[in-house]
Amino acid sequence: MPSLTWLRALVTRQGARVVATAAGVAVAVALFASIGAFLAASKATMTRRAVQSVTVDWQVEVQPNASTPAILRAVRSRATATATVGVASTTGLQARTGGSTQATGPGVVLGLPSRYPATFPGVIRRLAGTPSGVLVTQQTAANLHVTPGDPITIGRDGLPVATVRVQGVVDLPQADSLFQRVGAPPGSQPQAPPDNVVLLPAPAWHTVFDPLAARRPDLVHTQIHARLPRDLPADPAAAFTRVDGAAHNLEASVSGGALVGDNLGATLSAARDDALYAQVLFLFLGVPGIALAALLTAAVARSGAQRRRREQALVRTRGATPALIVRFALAEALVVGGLGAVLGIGAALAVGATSFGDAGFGATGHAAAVWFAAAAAVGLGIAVAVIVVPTWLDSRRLTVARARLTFGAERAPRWLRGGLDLLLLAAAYIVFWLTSRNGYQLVLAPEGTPAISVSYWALAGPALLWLGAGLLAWRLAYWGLAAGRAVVTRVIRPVAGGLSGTVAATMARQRRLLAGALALVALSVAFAGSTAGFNRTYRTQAEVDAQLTNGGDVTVSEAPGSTSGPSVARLAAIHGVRRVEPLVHRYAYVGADLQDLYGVRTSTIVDATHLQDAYFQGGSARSLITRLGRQPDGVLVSAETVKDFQLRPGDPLHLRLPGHGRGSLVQVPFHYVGIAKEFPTAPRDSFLVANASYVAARTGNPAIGAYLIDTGGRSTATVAHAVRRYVGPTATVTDLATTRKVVGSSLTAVDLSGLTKVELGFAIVLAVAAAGLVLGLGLAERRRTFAIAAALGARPAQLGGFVWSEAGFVLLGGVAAGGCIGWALAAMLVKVLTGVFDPPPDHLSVPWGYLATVAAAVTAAVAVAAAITVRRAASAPLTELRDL
Amino acid sequence: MTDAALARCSNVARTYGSGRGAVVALHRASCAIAPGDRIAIIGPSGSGKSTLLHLISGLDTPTTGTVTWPAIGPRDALRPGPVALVLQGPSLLPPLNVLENVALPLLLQGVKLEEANTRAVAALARLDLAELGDQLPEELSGGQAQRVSIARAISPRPRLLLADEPTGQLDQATAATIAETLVAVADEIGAALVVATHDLTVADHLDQVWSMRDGRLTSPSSAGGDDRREESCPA
Repeated sequence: MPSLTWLRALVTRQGARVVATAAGVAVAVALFASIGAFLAASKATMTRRAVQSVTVDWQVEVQPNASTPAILRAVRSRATATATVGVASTTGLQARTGGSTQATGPGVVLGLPSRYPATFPGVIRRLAGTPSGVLVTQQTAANLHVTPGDPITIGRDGLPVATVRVQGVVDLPQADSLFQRVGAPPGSQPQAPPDNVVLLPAPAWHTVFDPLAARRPDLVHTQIHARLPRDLPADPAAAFTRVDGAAHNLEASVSGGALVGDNLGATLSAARDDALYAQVLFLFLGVPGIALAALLTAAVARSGAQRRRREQALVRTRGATPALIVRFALAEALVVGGLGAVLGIGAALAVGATSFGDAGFGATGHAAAVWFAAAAAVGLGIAVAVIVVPTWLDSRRLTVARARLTFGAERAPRWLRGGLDLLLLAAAYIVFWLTSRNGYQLVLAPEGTPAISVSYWALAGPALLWLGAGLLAWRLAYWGLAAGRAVVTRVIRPVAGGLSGTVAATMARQRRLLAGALALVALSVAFAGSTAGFNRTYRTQAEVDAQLTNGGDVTVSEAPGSTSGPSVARLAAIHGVRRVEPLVHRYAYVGADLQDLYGVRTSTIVDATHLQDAYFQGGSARSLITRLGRQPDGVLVSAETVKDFQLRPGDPLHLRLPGHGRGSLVQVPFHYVGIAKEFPTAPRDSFLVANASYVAARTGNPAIGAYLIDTGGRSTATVAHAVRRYVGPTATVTDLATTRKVVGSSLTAVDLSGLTKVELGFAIVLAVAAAGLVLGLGLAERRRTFAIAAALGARPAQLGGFVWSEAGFVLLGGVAAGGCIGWALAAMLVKVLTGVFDPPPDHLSVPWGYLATVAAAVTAAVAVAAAITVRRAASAPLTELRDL
Repeated sequence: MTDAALARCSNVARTYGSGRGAVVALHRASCAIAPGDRIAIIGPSGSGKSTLLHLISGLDTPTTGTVTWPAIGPRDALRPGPVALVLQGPSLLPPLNVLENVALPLLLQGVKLEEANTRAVAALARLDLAELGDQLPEELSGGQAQRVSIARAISPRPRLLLADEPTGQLDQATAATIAETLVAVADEIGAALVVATHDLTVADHLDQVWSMRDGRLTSPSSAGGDDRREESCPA
């Protein structure tokens, strides 16, 4: 009952403070619930997207001497759809068109049942002719110069060639997985899809290859393509475990009669990596916000601590035991925590409904409920931590007499005397150094193993920096107010006038309070700044990734081996095209390693494309390309090649490149001049960049390979359409807008936009609350001081001298310190989370607009808090004195 | 003819709140304070003493009637300077030390820091508090704090010194000392002194007694019954 009486009095007399503390709890609860539900929804989306991107879930390869019908039965019992596919190797294809004969090297011929395209939509994309019958891939058609209606011959080892008539030209978007080596050992190099592919109807395939199967069974085999039930768990890791387990179960049940090419499992494995990155991002970006909200709540609760201590001292003089006082605090914490939890969850639901169109952020009802319940628990925990714990400590340590003291007995906090902030910063640096060394991987997912791990240790770097820098800001403010009183007096003279010395004295004696407020503002600004900086850098790099992937605003890629490319002049004449940059593309052997080689015009390539300095090592983009231009036989290679082949600048490098004739390789001498880490249209870590003219001259091969078209970033889709009409089906045309969408929605790109949308909104709320609420409540706690000054005759301007000086100190100091901490944090986050950036950024991108919004909001909050304080003190000092 | 009164109240009333919840703290009181007056306003708690004192100090404004300060000037010219008020209860600014507290009214007046400190030291010395200059208010006893408040009030050398229950939280002996001090410093600086108190021993130190009950100013007072005292409350 005494607790109820205490509570009733608390709510009646201190209602505003209870609500303010509950609001702090609510922010933490809302942020936790929002981010948690968003994370659950993101994981479910990743699983869904992974599943949608796979058309053939399993490619079950029937082993020699195994019974295909038995394997098929085993697969059917686990799948929703199946198809038996014949796979045969051909010695080569040949066609005679236009008076000349074209022949290719070895290839693959698939035998597909008639219902295959309907059962597995998306595997085959028709480009010309009919969608069924005898089909050849685009590259094969280009190599053979055939169109629908032309006959081709299929070479069979040791048997006469078979002749079929082409009925259509198709593209196989998932060729990489379709032609995978089933049962390849984990970690083995992926196998490139064959250059020449023919698709035959199953009966025709059997007619052609059954004789070969009898003669050379090693060249002919059967695969069963399967689609699995899609009722998978929402979490990619759980979905992967289920699919992977099912594949192993199948292999075991057929006693080694089949090997499973688990396409769905491989895609889910990538998705679980992304999910872990998302989880890490949640921790990196979300936890500081929640911690900040907790600190804010603690600050709000602490701003009434002196009053609470005096009240407790009074109660103790009337005989209350420490246990009873703690019970009072517990009751208060339950009220504050409960109210905060309800408000916070309400806010989270509102954020979800307004920002994501679903109160549960798109997560399942169960997942959202779990996160919301966890958030409510966190809220109650924060309330207990900021109300009950200090009360308990006070009840054990504080005497009644000591409770009256506010300023006189103040000493620097123990952490400050012990240099905790400096120790934390040193520890942050050490952890950062350890975790950002070469070879460090934040998310480790060894191929072929179900286990996946995250180096959560890396979290410690930014966390320690955040804490250490916040405390350092506290220390500097504390020290500055005490030791720099003369300086403060001079600085605030424009605001405080003749009272500047007195105001500086009040600030010095309240340095603990002011330093705390400044540190909180700094941390909140740092949170907003680091999140926004990281987000902006991520977005910038996503754009760079799109540019890197596509090469130009519009890119024309010729089929390999094509020597009759489009005319540069005609491409340049297309409306909307500003410039056309030919980019020679070849394959080259570095030893036994096949790599992409790009031949560039060094005089134009830098300006024609979006080359970034980060693409190169040991110099800027321009300096390395210039170096390449000065040495005609120079070549830029990847860092991996430098390491693998122990290259030093100037070392000769003999590459084997395709010559003018089909199948011929020419050895060309180069000299290693520098390292390229990325290059437009190039695969990562396995390419070479050389002078185009040198490559053409030494190989006698004038083929280009790709054309990068600059449209000035405008009308890329329209220009791409016009270019497609010009080049026809012989070349692939891609545009930046489409690539941007692909890159932005690919599984390897963690969807950061939703996370940061939540975070950036809350960051402003936290910054405003930290600045306005904490300063305002601190000032409100000293209403009596200002009222007494007013009663002594202080004019509003003179009262303003006290209030605005404090507000200015907290605002300017907090924003300045927060800016520095935010920059350092963002830089560290970008470094630690390098895995989410592809390519890594040159430098941080600064979101000036958002930062200006934060600064304006914080300034407005401080101004409102200060103006209200001055107005109340000046207008009704007696009311204040009577009420207090 | 020039009005020499330091403060004059004409039919002043003060009502707090409005409607059914309105509380009339002071009913149509009229009075005047002349230079050299030593006045005690006595009465039980809630009788309206503080309200009248606050109206005289210019810290509050009457609901009806007028308060003027003929010998001083308009309301804006009262504080800090000609009128000083010793507030009820702890009234020192906690983050300022004793010297800074006493110098504050002077600084608010626009006096330079050095001169303000010199005069504050003198005011403290007058009350035998010179050694407490560096102490913070929370380190003082109740009596010391009240004497510092008096030092702060007299530091601008006001012409009208008002004190609201200056001994309310002090023991009898200390209260008597405070009362003596107030009269002595008022004599020294030539200020009129008005003390609102419910302590008759404090009133004993003053020349006139105004009596208040239920918001009404009555005269003559029956308090004390000392023939030396002169009742004065011109209506």
